[in-house]
Amino acid sequence: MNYPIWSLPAPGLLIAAVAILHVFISHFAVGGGLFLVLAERRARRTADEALLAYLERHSRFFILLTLVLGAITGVGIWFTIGLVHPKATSSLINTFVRSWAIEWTFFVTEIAAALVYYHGWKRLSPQTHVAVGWIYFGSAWLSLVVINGILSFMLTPGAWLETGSFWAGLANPTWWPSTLARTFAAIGLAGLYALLTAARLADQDLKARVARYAGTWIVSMAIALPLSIAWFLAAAQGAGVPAFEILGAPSGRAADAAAAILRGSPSGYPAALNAVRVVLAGSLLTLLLSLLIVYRRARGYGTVAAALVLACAFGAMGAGEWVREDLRKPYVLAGQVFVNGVRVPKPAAVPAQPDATADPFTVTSLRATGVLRAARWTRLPEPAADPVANMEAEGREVFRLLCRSCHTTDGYLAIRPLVAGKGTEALRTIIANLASPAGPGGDETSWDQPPARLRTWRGRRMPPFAGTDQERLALAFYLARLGGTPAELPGKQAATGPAQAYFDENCSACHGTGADFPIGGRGRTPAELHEMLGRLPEINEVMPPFEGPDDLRQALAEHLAKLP
Amino acid sequence: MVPQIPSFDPLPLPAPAWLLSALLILTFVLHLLSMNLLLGGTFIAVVARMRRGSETQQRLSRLVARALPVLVAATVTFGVAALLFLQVLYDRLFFTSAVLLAVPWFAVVVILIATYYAAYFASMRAKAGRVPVAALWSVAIGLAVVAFLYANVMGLMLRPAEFLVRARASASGLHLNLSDPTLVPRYLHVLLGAIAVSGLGIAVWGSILRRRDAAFGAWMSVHGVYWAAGTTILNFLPGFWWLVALPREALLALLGHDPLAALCFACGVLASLGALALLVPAAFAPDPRRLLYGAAGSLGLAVTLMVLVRDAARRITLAPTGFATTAWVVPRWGPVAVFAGLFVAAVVTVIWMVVTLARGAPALGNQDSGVGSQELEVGGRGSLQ
Repeated sequence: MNYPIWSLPAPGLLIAAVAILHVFISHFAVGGGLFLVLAERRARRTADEALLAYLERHSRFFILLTLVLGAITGVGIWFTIGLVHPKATSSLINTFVRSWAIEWTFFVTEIAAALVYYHGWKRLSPQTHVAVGWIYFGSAWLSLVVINGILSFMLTPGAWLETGSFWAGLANPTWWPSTLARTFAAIGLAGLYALLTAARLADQDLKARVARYAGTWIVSMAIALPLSIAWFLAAAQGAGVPAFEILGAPSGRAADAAAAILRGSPSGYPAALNAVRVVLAGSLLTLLLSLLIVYRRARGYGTVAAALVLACAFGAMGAGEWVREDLRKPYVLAGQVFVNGVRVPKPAAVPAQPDATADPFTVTSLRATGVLRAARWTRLPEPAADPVANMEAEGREVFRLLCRSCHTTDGYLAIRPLVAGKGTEALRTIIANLASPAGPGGDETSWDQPPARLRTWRGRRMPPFAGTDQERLALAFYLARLGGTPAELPGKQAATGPAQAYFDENCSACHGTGADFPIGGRGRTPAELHEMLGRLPEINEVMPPFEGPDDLRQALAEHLAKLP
Repeated sequence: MVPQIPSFDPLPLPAPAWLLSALLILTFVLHLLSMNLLLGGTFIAVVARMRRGSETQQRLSRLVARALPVLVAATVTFGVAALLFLQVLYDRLFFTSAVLLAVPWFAVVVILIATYYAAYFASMRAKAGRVPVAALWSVAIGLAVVAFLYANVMGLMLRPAEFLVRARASASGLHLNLSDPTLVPRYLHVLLGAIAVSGLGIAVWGSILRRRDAAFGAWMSVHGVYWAAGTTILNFLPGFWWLVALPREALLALLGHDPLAALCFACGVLASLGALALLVPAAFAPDPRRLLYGAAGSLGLAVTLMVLVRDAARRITLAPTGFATTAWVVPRWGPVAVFAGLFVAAVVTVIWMVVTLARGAPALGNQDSGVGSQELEVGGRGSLQ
């Protein structure tokens, strides 16, 4: 909006691909450093020349993977988020340039130490070589600590929103638990990668020794990682992230989320649920296969088996990062910027800008001025004689400006199947209810105050619509056309009566023909349906209450009773 | 066309602009010097490798190839810092330019990964005694392409009047900044400058190696001087072309309208000429070390001054477009002090590690053993102690 948009199919997938690859290597860069230095110390203490020779070869693999692919994919994430979310990236850099500068000092030390360690096997004394290894690990871990501070800030900015304090932003509520989780992931990955490089050893005794040693690292991760993730989820929930609601439990209870993961849920974020399932399956397979190798086939396992274990771990870790990203939705910077670049009003703690004009890209500003007027890079064709074509073009452009950062038409997170069969009125209502601000207790508030929580339509974690009523109508019209609805301008449809109109507008998105939960009278009498309409949230907690006069409620009950 | 520039982020700068600018210039100079040694060194190594009849040329290509991974690491490390400070100061221009040229900009990452691996491959094969010419070509072409893509994105940044028309024409990100009159001279100037700096680097390296292998070290010095002097002379052409291709305001500023920028420019040109004046006698001197060190200092000064000139030209070019870095600054000195302390600690630690490694016993048994003490070494028959 403030920046041009790169029309890329599935921009989120591009970020995910680069980020997951980087994460899988960069955690090895931390844990692998500790593995090398501790294993070297152990080898030197026991005068194990064979182990030292293996470690030297392992260090070559280590630097080839971490210094090249690991480091450059790290730069790649920065490039990619800057292209897909330039506004959020710019804000993040502005807020955390000092963090990145601090992290850079660790990065420089880490890179230099890795090269000196690798080239120093035969040129440094054992003590100095081990010392360089410790310097490497220390700087690599501190680099993780700082970067994780920024990453966790994006999910739980904590007191930064009130105080604006740099340190409060860095040491945010999920910093410590996620740092601990990442540290144990790094330790486990060090063991898994060691299994891979040891797989080709011809010396079976050495191979078994390395595999057993690596096994202790993997088991450490298996025990400590789930605990630290549980701490992380609790901390996130405590900081206002509706983690369990996103996982399909509107009650916000962990037990309900666990049930939703096993059995599915009509609410929450489906991609996050699936990702959690992949995490669980991948982790279990990683652990079982590792234990099988370490305790049953330590002398005879091959590269394929070790690669299979790594592939399972890659799947689990990638899905884990996916879940973390989903927990943050619909924000890209929690409490500040939504995924489509729309801002929430400025945090109270950020000092007022002298002589500033109002930020044109907040929800409230955009609802007043309209996204088509505010966006600097609008691409609308010249108005045509046909009002249908004009409205569709307007809706298409609103979609491009507000929705394309996540949704494609037919590819990744395709919008067409989501709107198929839905009418303009139903979509207009859904769009209006995508997200609304709520206080800490869930009570509705206004966008003028930074929201403590977000209430989202069916827990789908969508950003609020940020445009005028006319733009909302145009978007709904465009989407309805995309979904196959005939090209009739709103207001020109045949008169249907108030009950049908209310149903189309408020109920058909979920309960209309072809929707997820089509409804019929099911033999109920109008009186029974009238009574049920009075307690919709009791029947299903994701249903909004009926908010209309009693004669409309009665008419709707009669309408529903007639449905087949 | 009225320049279309995104609006300010509603956030203050966390440190004064002068400090961020100083850090940008410092890290960019370090990046530029590393990049020059890398890019120019690779081109010299390619040419040397193709002179199959000359063993000295082959040795030179191996020597340079072995240093490539370290040079890539240094270039990337200093580059990310410079890019960080650039994004703070020029965020609205940089991100717009990058998004408009999204595909080439993202391609930098992919090409860099392939180039980095090619550099490691060349380095490892050089240790084994022979560098595949294809590997050196891959590195050279990869780096040249990355430099060209960078020149495009950094060039479009300075043309905000182009933003809107490009954004409306297409959102595919599949474009370059080829209509920029400064693109080609700027690129050629950087390319030739890189060869000049790396030629001088090879000459200095040769003068150090003379203690271990007098004949080869002397040859390297003279060879490096030829490259450095030749490309420095040639580089005045694209330099002049770049100058006249600059927007009128920037050209006039460098010619005297902006006294400070003009002074930097004049001193930069004089420093280049000074380097040249020291290089020519160095080719004939029996012990050229002092002349070469002087030339290196002079060329380093020229590079630094030209970075300052480039910064001034950027500022002057952007002035009529209405772009300015936000004047809203709310400095928080605590984190800045932590950064400063850690920076000093990092510099001390890195120097200690590199010096300790350089003092370590050189590996034996390599055909380049005469020069091995200055190389990063992992092979050989040294003991585990």
